[in-house]
Amino acid sequence: METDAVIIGGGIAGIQCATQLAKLDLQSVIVEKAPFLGGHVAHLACKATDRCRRCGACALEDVLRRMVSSGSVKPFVRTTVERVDERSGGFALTLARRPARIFPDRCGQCGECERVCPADGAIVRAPGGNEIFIDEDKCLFFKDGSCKACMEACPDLAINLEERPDTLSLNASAMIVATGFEPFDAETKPRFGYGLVPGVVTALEMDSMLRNDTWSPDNGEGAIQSVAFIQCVGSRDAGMGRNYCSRVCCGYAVRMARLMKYRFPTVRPTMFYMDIQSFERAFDKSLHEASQEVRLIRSIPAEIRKGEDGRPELIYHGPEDQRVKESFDLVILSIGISPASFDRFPGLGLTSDGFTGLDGEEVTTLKKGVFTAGCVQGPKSIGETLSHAIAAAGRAASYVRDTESGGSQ
Amino acid sequence: MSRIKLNDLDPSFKNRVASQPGGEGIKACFACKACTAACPVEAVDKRYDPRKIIRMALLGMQKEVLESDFIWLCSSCYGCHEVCPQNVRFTEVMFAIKNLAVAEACVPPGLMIQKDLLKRHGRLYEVTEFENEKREKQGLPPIAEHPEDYDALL
Amino acid sequence: MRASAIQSVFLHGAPRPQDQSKRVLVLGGDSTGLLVAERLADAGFPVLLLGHPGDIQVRDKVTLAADTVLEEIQGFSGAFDVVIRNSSGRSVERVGFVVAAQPGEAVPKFEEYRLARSCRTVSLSELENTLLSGGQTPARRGEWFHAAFLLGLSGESEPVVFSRVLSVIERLRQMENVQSYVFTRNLKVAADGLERRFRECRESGTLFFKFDDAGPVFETSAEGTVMIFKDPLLGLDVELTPDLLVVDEHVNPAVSLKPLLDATPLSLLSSPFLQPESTRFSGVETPRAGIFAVGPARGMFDPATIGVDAESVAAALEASLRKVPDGTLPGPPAIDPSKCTMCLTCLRLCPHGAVTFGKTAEVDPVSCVGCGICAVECPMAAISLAPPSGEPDIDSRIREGLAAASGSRKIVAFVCSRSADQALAAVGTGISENLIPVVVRCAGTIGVPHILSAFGHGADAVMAAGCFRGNCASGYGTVLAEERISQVQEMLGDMGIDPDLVRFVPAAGNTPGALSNAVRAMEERIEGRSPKT
Repeated sequence: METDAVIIGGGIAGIQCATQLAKLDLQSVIVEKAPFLGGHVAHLACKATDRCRRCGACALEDVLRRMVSSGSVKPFVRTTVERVDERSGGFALTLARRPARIFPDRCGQCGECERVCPADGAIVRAPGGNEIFIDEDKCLFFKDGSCKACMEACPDLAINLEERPDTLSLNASAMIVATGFEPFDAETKPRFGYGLVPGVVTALEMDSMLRNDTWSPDNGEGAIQSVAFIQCVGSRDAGMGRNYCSRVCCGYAVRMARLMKYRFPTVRPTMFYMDIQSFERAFDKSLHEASQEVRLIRSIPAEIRKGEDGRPELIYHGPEDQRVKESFDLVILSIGISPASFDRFPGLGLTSDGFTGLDGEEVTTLKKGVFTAGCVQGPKSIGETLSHAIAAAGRAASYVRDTESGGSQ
Repeated sequence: MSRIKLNDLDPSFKNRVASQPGGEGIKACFACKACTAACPVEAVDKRYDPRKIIRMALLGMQKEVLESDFIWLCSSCYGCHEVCPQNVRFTEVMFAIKNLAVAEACVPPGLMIQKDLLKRHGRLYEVTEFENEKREKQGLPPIAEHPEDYDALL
Repeated sequence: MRASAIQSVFLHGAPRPQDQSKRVLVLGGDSTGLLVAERLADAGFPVLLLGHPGDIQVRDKVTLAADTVLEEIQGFSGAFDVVIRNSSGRSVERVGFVVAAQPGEAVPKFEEYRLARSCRTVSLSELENTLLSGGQTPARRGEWFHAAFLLGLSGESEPVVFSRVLSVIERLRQMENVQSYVFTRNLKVAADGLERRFRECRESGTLFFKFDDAGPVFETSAEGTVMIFKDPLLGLDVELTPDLLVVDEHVNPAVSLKPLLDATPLSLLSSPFLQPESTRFSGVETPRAGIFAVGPARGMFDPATIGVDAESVAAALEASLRKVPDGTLPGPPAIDPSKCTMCLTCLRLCPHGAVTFGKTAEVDPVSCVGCGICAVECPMAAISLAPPSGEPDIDSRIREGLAAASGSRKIVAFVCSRSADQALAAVGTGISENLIPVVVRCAGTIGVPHILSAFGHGADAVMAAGCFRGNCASGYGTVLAEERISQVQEMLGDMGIDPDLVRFVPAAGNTPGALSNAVRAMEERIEGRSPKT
């Protein structure tokens, strides 16, 4: 298979790159390891209250439609890059594509597989809920072959665990690394209680619940009212080697707090922060509006533990210059952004903060013909990612034209 | 209290703290307050507040810091160390500050007594017949004092 | 579009979409403009560069119009006429594209802080210029030189301003015994490398005061300005007489953006920048096809975005020359010249500036996004929207949908292709057999006659599902749709019919629940109130 550019990562950055390349009359291939395109953005809720709050998450559907209608993009999902060889005029890639484990046209979505599966999180529903996938990292069959419960139980015979992955070869003139970000693992900061204290969740988990309408303040034991947002979890943390601001968390926490309050007026959000970063123009006004709905406390808690009533209890130094122990019904950790792994593509360079490329270089890398787009290059909002991807695609396109015309002479 | 005049304070004090072993991290503090909320001493005596001590040192309030009695309250529990996102290592900053205080002869009397005890007995209290008799009843061997160990350490 | 432009259309005749040019007008003023001009010249576009003095060097393919400003612009992507003026007079130039790359304008906050400018109280830009030109900073009055920086004490600051403050502090450190202080509220570190530089700055001795409430007050003494404040951490009263007091700045859009703002339909501009604050517009796109905005002109002041933007402009121009068909776009509307009375309604209302008048109204196919607002608003019904790739028009789709419907109830839902239709695709149309979706390009296409037609052909209820307010890709499509829904509600009320059988439903591609909930609510409404039962 030949293509002009191969894009590693099918999140919003990769899709935007492909769409932009199509506009420039170039063919591209997207390689995505997950069973669906869209990456993290596919799980984000619309933050609109009575009006659009400009989070940008709905842009994904728009970009996806453009990508499909362009007809110039071949996306490969469930596919990983096994090998990259440099050759004259581009790259030769070896891809491994896992077969679809659940055939969507046979699957009746009865949920029997979810019921019988003994492994937590191995059966996954796509964003929107109308397609089911198997997460091969969690499925016991792919661990040790010990379990085929879902395959045996499926009344539609729609599950296929045994088929082997196939291998594809791909030649591309240019490569764009758009592997996106990994959310900070909140368990590595145990003092915030994630995984230890019931009622502590990450903002991404909360976002996904809000998107799917699966969260309600009525948790069965009385209504959830007080909600704490903890900022800079895994950001601005030189002690953990994360000496950078993740740039998006202030925006998503404030938007999420306002959305929760709008949908469920009994919710009383509090935000613990160091410095609130601007995420809109005319930010004075936004901040003032937000402060009417969200209690803002400039302090980072020392500890979040299980209180005597079972709720998460925060210990922090309060604005009145004294120690406060305060319990909340729900604590949401605003986890930061780390670059997703790009170690299969050595030699791209590394910024001081561990992202792809070089400090001050925006879309190029140390390796000729390899470009980078989106959060793998540095933390970015959805809007910034869309802009960045356009530039990366533009630079890749000029490179492709130069090498392809040079090659034919 | 009258106003603190920054023009009259010594901006180089923070550099002196930072140049002491353990004091290097002091200037990295960005005042997130996590250490204060984690400090068990601050919980009982508000005069001892890590973030405020750092602040006074950074502002150059040398006299107020070194001559205070509260700098000697640190329990060296390393709780602040644990929560600090900027690796200030405040417990060690406190050692640096206390060393400077000693150099300036700002030592509380209790500490001088402890020093003398150490010199005399090699430990912070004298081991007498009373203790050794009790130990014997528990089947423990007697303890001898070795003040010379202390001298050897110095 | 402002009146003078409309007049000049009649007086001079406007450029026509077919008069294509590859030439690009770049509005510059600093290194950004030069960078963009050079990048475009490299890509093979002839450039006319404005906003620079005559003594700069430019390369081949870049023509410098020195000390010249843009006054007015009209036309379309590929064929703009621009009126430019210099000391010797005005001229009109034909260009294909326009790129706004002017620097932002720094406005120091002296007034907000009630400070008077003096040799010891200067703006950030002034100090930068002094240091750059090797000028002298004011003399120290003691052993230490105390430099105080005000940063976002009045009005939230920007990462780019903090970055400049850090650079100045780094430079001042080259002098002996300098103590710098930064007085701020929310420190803006959300840019590449800023948090790292913030730490380096602290480690090199700079002190930061972050206020939650009252910041410092300034008193004048014989020594100069004295700053009096409560230290936010110690709670103690502190005073500082700085040798140098540096006042931060607002970064405002360039005044010279005005002719371009005038040429941009206002409905989409929520701010004084050329790019609306919406992910509907990314990269360097503006609501006006063929006009692009770089860095400060689109509200992005971080220097890191400028290289990216220059790249994006080159790609955008390349793309517009290649004209790869976008399958998601319908063709432009057809205008029946025998019905058009030249009332200019479409010219005034088009959110994309796509309409011009020659002998009759004409639509530029590049600028038009097919929102259909003109077609609904035309009082003579002279405009008809060409549906994408030979699909039937809205009315036939209403009729066909209703005829084929199998549910016991019939709810016609007009769904916007940029939002609600995407949400519907996520949940599947199977959410209710009563739902009859009719996809429209923009909610602004939905006219009162469409809604009445749906009722006339047997609908029990009608919904219009479009973008949330503030997210409409055509600016006010949502507002128009909401207005028309309430008009029909009033009509229904007058006829004694439950007005809530018509509803506007705000949606986005990622609100799969919004439509199904609305359909369910409407079904209950019909059951409860339907006169048929």
